[in-house]
Amino acid sequence: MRIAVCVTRVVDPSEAMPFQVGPAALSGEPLPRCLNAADLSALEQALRIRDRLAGTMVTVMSLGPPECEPLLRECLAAGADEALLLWDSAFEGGDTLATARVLSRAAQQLRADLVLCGRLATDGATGQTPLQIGELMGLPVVSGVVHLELQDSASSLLVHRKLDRGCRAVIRCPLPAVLALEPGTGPLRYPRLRDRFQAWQAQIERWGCQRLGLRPEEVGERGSCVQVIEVGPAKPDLHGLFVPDNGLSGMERWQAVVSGGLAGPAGPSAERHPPLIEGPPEVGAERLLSFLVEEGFV
Amino acid sequence: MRVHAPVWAVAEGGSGRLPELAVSLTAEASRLAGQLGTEADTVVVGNCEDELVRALGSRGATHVFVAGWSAALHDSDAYVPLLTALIRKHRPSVVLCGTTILGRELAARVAACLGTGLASDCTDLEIGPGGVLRMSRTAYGGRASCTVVCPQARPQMATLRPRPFPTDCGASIREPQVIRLEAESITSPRTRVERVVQGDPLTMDLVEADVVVAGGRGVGGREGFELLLELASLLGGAVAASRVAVDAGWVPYHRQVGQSGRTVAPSLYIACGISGAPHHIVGMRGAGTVVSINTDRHAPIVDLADMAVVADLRDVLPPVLARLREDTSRARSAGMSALGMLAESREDR
Repeated sequence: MRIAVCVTRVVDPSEAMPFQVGPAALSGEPLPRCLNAADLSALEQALRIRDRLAGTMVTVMSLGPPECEPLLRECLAAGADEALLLWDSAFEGGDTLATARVLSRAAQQLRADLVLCGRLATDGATGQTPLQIGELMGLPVVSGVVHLELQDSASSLLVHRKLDRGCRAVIRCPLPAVLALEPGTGPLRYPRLRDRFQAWQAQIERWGCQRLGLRPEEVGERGSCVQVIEVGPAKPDLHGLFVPDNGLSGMERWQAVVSGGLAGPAGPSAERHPPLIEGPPEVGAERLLSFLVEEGFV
Repeated sequence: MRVHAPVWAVAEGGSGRLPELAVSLTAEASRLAGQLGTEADTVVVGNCEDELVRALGSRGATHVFVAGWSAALHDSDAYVPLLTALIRKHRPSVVLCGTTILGRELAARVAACLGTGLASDCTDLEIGPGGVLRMSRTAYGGRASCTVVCPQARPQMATLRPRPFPTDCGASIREPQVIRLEAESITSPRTRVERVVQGDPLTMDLVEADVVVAGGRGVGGREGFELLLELASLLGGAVAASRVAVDAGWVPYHRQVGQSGRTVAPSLYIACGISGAPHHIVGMRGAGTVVSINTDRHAPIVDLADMAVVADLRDVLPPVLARLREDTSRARSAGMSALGMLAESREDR
């Protein structure tokens, strides 16, 4: 069985963002980068399959400039069998669909039986690429995967996927398929020092347009439909903004600020809260039920 | 003559409570359509009752396409070819989807089939010069906002975060034309949902829960939490606790909400025997509706609640649970028959 794992380099989510407001997008200085957390889960799942199923080959591939190589070596150290760098100057500036074109073509050329991706990159956070890879390859896709197991002598998969409200769907999926994994479905194993040394010396093949059989106008900025025209600091979420009431006395305003906007003016000033239900508990229960029904929770 | 092709909203239907997403997406679509001088249409995936059609009409939908086969709502696989063909036929200029699981998957896959651009999780849409949609979205984990456009390819696709839309956009109430799509046009999905596992109230990730039932000192002990546990499982939610209850060993630490625990923003937060110390409140302030059950009418949580019952939760909850249990068992027997019908219809196909 051949497993292709798509990994991507993201802006390190733990670092502060250097910004230049306006159409010039991000400032020129290089941003701190790391491997995307969900992609590490995907790699770990691939390695677990390989541990159980003899003759499995795990290929890690990443679309990105040569600076991505050290990150691919981390994947090799953790146990991936080979790493591919998908890069060509024509790949620069692609949107999700242009990226999916490159990754799906590479997976096809590898004849992958299973393509594993992280569900979401922490920086772009579109979550589109795995779904579009599947669509371009004509394969079934399951996104939001938290657990997977091979079934029927590795011809199909049983996967658990996230649904709303903490529910999980158990899905049977034929192979070949594309899966997008949630982050945190298993931390990536810690490599041995010997494996790190080997990974440093490993050859990383580079596939460009020619090797993949793609025309330069299909990929990168020329092959993209979406253009980013402006990047700036996040707009504040107005719902969460707390402003103390100017009509309060200084003491009360101070109390409101230190309590995070909770302590209202002292005394029974519950004008904002008419539904205060007192009396026997049966009445409370009745009112509570009808409230839940009215609000549509029951 | 129309200058621009129509603006489409694509959303799940459903029975019972009016699917708000379909209505709000339609309102947004007709707002954009008004600016473009064209019309808004809605594609409803799943059940579409007359009430929903009327609601969509009042928000400005001219046509309502109904792809009604509610069985595979978890599965975008069934609807991708259908929606792709529909868009190829009618050539809308803009297609809006919701940020639900189905909405996200459908949008990404259909965009790939059509070879067009998609902006995910948009917070704001505007018509720019030349009728090009300017889509604002957040990136870098909410630390940046960016504006994207799709200047050439059509349709321009976006998934839209839920937000309060004007309930009535002022469009005259009209009867939309309903076009029911044939069930045959829905391909049977390659993936099969074997079963759906309900979340367990004690282990469900608190951040995922839509309903949180939290207990504090007033719960009194583990026996009290049994009541909360049952309420949570009947409402399909999770059990949480304030620090006092966790420190007392009544529930494990991963249930703690507040400054030294998790921060949650469920649609419904039921605080039982919680006074509402600031350290707890910071963890649940994002909740939509807050209900408090507390013996103290002056507790700070009462000021925050949308409804406050002043009583002991051990007296209030048992009758509530009894009623909910009754409703659930009735719904379950009804659900079983619906599932039976579903199995039959699958065999027919």
